[in-house]
Amino acid sequence: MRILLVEDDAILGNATSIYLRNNGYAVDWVQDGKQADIILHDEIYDVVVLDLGLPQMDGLNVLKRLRARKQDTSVIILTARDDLEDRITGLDLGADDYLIKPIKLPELAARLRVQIRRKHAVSTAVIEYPPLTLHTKEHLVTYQGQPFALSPREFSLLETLLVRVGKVVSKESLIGNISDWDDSLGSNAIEVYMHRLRKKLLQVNIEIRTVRGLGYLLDKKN
Amino acid sequence: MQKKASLRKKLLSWLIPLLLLLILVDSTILFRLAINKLENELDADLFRSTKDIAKFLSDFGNSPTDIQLLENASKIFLNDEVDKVLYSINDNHGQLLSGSKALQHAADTLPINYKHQQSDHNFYYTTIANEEFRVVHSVFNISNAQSTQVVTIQIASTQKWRKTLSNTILIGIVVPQLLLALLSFFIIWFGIKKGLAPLDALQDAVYKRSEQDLSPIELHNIPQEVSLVTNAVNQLMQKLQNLIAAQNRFVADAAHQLRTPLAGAQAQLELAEQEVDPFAIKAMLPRAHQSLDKLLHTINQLLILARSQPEASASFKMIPLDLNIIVKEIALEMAPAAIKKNIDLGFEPSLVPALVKGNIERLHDMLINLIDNAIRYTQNDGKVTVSLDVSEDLVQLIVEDNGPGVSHAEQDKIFDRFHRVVGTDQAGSGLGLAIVKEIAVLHGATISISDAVATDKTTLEKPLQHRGLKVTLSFNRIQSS
Repeated sequence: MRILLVEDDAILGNATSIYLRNNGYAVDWVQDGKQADIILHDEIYDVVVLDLGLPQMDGLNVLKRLRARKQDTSVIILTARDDLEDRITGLDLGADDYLIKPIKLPELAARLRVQIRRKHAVSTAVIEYPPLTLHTKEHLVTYQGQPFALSPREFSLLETLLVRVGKVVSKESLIGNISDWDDSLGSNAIEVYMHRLRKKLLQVNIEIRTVRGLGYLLDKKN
Repeated sequence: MQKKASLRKKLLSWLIPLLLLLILVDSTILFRLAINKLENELDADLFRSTKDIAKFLSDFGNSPTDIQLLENASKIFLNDEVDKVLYSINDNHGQLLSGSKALQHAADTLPINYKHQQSDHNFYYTTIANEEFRVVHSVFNISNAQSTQVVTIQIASTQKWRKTLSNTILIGIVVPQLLLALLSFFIIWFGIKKGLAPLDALQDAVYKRSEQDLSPIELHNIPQEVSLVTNAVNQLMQKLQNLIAAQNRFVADAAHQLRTPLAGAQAQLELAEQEVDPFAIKAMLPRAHQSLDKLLHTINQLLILARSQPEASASFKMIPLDLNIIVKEIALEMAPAAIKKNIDLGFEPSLVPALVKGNIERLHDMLINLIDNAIRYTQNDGKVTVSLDVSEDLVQLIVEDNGPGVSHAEQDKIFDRFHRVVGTDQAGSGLGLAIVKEIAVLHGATISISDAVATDKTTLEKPLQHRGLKVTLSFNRIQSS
């Protein structure tokens, strides 16, 4: 994976490029907008990590010119400015993501993975949540390689919770996601399916927490 | 200078015409009165002359019709230096006994009842030979030793003397009045000038002030009204001074708050630089990292606080929205943080839409800080509940926890910037509730603090750590359009 890092601060640029290289990316690092513009003209990258406050040419300008050349390289904007207007402008000009400095390097790496996934249109065939593995295409779940029995509705619930792992999922979202199967389910029906799913998951030390008035959260039992 | 000139002009512009009008009316009235009196006197004089003639006739005439006597009499009584005087005496048959025929004929034009009333007199104007005469027409009973007869005596006089006199009166009235008017103008002019002088002084005093000088303006010997304005200006400057001082304090406090974690990180790194043992170095780095995280957090909070200042509010869009939606969104976001501490975070929406006018971004900032505060200062396994309550014209947002709470003495202070309750979480910036307060103020909402659980004074053993904290924000409810 080829990454172009455009960052004028030496210390931040140094740390970022080394970290990304350590994580298996091929990283080219330039420190001003003009150089970035020239290099983007000639070379092809998978993702550009673009700082905005650059000498020679402003980051947004680099982005504008990139998009004007009809290059659809993914761009992640990295900036210290967190004003709403700036964010909207950046996204409107064609950026794929907008990160506020300082960012945790692992977070940057995760966002890069999102961009690469999108670009290669790789839908997540498999979601791992040890000790379970969810196979989205086959609509089944395995536990240590063996099938883990779930009804279609229970599967949908689990899938929705897994896709948003770490976040609380509201009841409304769940109803929306599993009502494709059927006419819309009431919230009581959801609770019934939840109850069944819970029982099954407890057997593998996974629990679904109820957050009052808000929704559900998938969690590992300690 | 503009404002004051127009005040003076304004005063003059109605005072002077009013004064002129007054003097005009006053002069006219005086003049009319004087002329009236003059005319009455002149008329009375004419009449007296007729009486004198009548008396003479009755005293000295053997026969009332003694013509020679009459003519002598006329020379004595009717001598006048200025005006031409005519007379006519006729008997009750209309026969002219003496005097001007023209005058007698003038009487013919009078109405009938004029002519024959005895002991009565009337005045009228007539024109004889192109001159205007004022005439008195009197009827007398002349009786002497021999006989009694009714005669009509008329005396006519031109008006020259009257005109001369009336002109004299006119001048005598108007000239003093004009002088009075002139004097009044000067008095008014001078009075206004002197009266407005203190305003001049105040204006100069304020203009001369540079923006750095906010000390009170001191003027001496100024009237009450101007001194009231001066006091108001001084009060405003005092408020500005306080505001600037508060801002300077804030900047100083902020700098201090930023320096401290920075110093911590640098110290750890300096230590790491001198250290040779890689494991020891590895132990120091997370500490440096932690300090820098805190620094970042403080900086972000400062930015949010700056964005929530009233001065920044001009660019906000306040729109009608249902707080339930925003609260749920933020609560969902913050739930994972609560779960990390095994805190039971719950949301209780209102039964009806909680409609208020607000700015979405600011409310986001506010709610994040409110809920974060509750989670941060509640112990593991604790409970935090966010609820919305809608009454007739209020929407109340309540965040309640069962943590250690805040002592009554400190409850007033927790909204102060950089205030941190002693002995609690060191990772906080002390700005969370200050931000909440600023944003509440922006929305015209009031904020109040109380214990979550009423302190039961009878049970002294009640452990204070479960006092809890309840923060209530009261917004004005708007009706759905």
